[in-house]
Amino acid sequence: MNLEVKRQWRLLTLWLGLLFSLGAQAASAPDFVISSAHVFERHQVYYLDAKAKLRLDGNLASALQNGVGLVFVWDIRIMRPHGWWFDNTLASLSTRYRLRYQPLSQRYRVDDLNSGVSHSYWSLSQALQRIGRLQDFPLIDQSLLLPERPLFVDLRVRISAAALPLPLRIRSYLDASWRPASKWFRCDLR
Amino acid sequence: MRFALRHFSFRVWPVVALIALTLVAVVLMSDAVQNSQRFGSHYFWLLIFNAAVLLLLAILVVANVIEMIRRGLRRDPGARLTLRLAGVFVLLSFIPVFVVFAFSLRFLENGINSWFNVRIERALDDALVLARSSLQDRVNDLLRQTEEGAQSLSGIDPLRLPQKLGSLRRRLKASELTLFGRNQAILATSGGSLSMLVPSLPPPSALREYARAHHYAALEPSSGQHLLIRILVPVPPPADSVKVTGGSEMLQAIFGIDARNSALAANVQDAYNRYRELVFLRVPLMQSFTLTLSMVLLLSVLSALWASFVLARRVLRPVRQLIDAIRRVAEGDLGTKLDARRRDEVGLLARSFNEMTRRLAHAREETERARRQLERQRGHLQTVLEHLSPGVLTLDRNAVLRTANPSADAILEQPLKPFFGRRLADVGEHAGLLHQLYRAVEPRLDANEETWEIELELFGGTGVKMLICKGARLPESSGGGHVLLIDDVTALILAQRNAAWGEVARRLAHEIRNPLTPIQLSAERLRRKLLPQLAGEDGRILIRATDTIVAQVEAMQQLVTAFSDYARAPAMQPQEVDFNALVESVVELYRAQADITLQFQPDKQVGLMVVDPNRMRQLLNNLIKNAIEACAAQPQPRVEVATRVVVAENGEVGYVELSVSDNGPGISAEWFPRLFQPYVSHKLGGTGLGLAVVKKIVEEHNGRVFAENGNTEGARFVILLPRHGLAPERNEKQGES
Repeated sequence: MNLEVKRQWRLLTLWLGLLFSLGAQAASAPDFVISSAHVFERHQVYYLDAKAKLRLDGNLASALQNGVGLVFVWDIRIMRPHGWWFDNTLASLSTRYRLRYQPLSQRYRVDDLNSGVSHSYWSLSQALQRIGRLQDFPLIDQSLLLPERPLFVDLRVRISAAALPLPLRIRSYLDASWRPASKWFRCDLR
Repeated sequence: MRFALRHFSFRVWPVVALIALTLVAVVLMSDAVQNSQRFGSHYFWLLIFNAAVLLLLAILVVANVIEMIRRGLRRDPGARLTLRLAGVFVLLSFIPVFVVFAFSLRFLENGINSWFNVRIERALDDALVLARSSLQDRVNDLLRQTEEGAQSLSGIDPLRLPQKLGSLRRRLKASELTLFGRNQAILATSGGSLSMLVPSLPPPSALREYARAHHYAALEPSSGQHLLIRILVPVPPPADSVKVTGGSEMLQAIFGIDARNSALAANVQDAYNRYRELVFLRVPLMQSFTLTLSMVLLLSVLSALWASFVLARRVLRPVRQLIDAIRRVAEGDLGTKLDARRRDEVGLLARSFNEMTRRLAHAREETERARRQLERQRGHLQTVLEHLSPGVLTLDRNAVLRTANPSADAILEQPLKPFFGRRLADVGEHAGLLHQLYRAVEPRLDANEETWEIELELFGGTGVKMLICKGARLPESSGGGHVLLIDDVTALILAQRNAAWGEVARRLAHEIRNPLTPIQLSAERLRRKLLPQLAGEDGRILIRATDTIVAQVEAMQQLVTAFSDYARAPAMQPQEVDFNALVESVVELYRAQADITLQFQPDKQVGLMVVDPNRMRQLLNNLIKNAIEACAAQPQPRVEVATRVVVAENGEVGYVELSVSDNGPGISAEWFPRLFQPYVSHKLGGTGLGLAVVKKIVEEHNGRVFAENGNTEGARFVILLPRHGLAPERNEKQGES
């Protein structure tokens, strides 16, 4: 019976936690920080270079070590500022990387889910470095953008909660540390 | 069935649908938890949806509970029964649900724990280590072979390099050999497949490792499941060469692992990974299952709660309606009908109830009709009784007055209603005629005869009343008692009596008057003829005899005149007079007689009275003359006349008493009964009509006269006259006669 009571309590707290955390998408943990980003133009196409410092906390690291694949997502939005109103999103892109640990080779493998290219690394920090670096990422064709308007690029990097295994997904809804995300970083497009 | 569905109200269907939907959602949720790809992405929304529905259900249940408690407190019909039934339902549903929940949790825990096994875990670990060491052996072996091969490349002529590299690759069975010069420039390469034009470049991490350890040999994942072994070794400079700074050439050898081994290794790795993941996810998975299960539990419990309330209300609705209907019937609304369309026992009950109320209503209608008929008859009887000239009184067995008609009120000169319900034996003299009546009939009531009839003479506010009272015993079945029929025959008897006396007087006068004149004439003639012939004593005798005859004849003529006067009494002429003044005027006439003391003591309260003054004077004359005559022989004759108002007990002025008293010898006992009868006189020379006339006049005034002897001496005649009463119709009758 005691066990039953405990279980009921756990259930109750779970429920309450669920209900109360729904609205409050807890502030992103400082584990993910975008340190720099800039846009450059080459052959009428805008490209993005960005760098982020990624660090996995204990939970996620141990999940990774235990065979759980983590999906990192770069969210990129090209914005036109509206002044007094909400900014206008002209385009939004994303690029995704999957990080897995391979116990046989004892390496970390990073799959670029956009291109299908894989790389493996001896250390986690190398793998995270790879994921936290966007290089020559094509944004948009210049011809698609109206001239003489200031434009921005907002970007962030996060772990996709939806890609977690289901049992962890429920946890991630309740506990923001399971879905770390950087703050939105803004840089000028032109 | 259609009926039942129709009654399954609109309030119920949406909730049922919602519960069904939630059930589906819960099933999908459990499906999602079991790693289904289909619903996995919607899991969160299913969770939200279910939580919302559960919240809604909880609100519904709470609202139901509050409503039910409110009804219970308000003592609505059937509210407590509903609450009790709902409680039973809840208990019945809760216990199994909780038992199932507890067992499910137990099984779930056991089930999930049974996936994990230390031996399997160890085996998987071992498999992985085995695969790794086997591959590592191969890596080491290939490293050694590659190092040997690199030595063979040392100092080789660059022109022969491709050829040499090719033969070396074939010897080593490598899939690719590449020779890097200083600064990682590719000097030569040899690949097994033609498709590969660009040699695979060593990753930076490999180069770092190579820079640190001067060789690199590692298993690397290739595309898909494939593995490859990458080996980097330095090509030693030729023994005779000069030591050159900037490093030596580097040989990279890539060995593919055949597909079967790759697949096997990949399988081991996959299994290992999956197992580790399972172990890692054990607790979250348990929580997910528990969450889903709890949702199901909550859904079941709340649905059961809600359903139990709805069911309890539904089941008890006929009972509530019945209670309500019975309450209304008890309040007298016999038009209450229950819905009797159901075909079950409740329908039967409703039909029986309706039949019962119908019969009740019918019976009540019948009773009402009978009552109305009775009332009508009673009203009819009442009307008859009201318009019946005789008074009708009913008494019960204890002589308690029950009813009386208006005629009885009139005859007994007072409303009898206040005496209803009172024993007549208890009503005092202030009840007047009613009391007198009861005293008169009491012996007959006590005798308890079937029927009887008596004549009564009562004296009330309007004078003497002669009544004929008939009595009849009421049947015992109706409670016994008597009904009295009283008839006021005063006027009739008076008229009859007056007519009789008048006739007698007229006849007598006629019969006597006729012979009187011849008698007188004969006596005078005798005297005239014989007196001259007789002388002396004879003559005196004749004179005396004839004088006597004449005198007596004259007296007789006076008598006859008096008789005819009595018979031909003029009509009453009542008028309002000052009664005391009237009496005084008569008394004054007799004051002239010096030898008698005549006193008059008026009562000032008497005032005006309605009487016939002439008759009243005659009455006074007769009485005063009688009194003077009665006391004439006394040494100090004294006559007193007095008036007095006799106040009735109820405070009203009842009647006026006129008394004439003398100090004579009084009335002898043998005269009393016949005192007021005509032709009765105890005086010499009296006509015997004086007191008869007095009585007649008193009766004409609805009064009463009686005589009494004084305590020590003399007689007293008392006349009681009603103060206001002088029944006009009696006067008319009087006038007619």
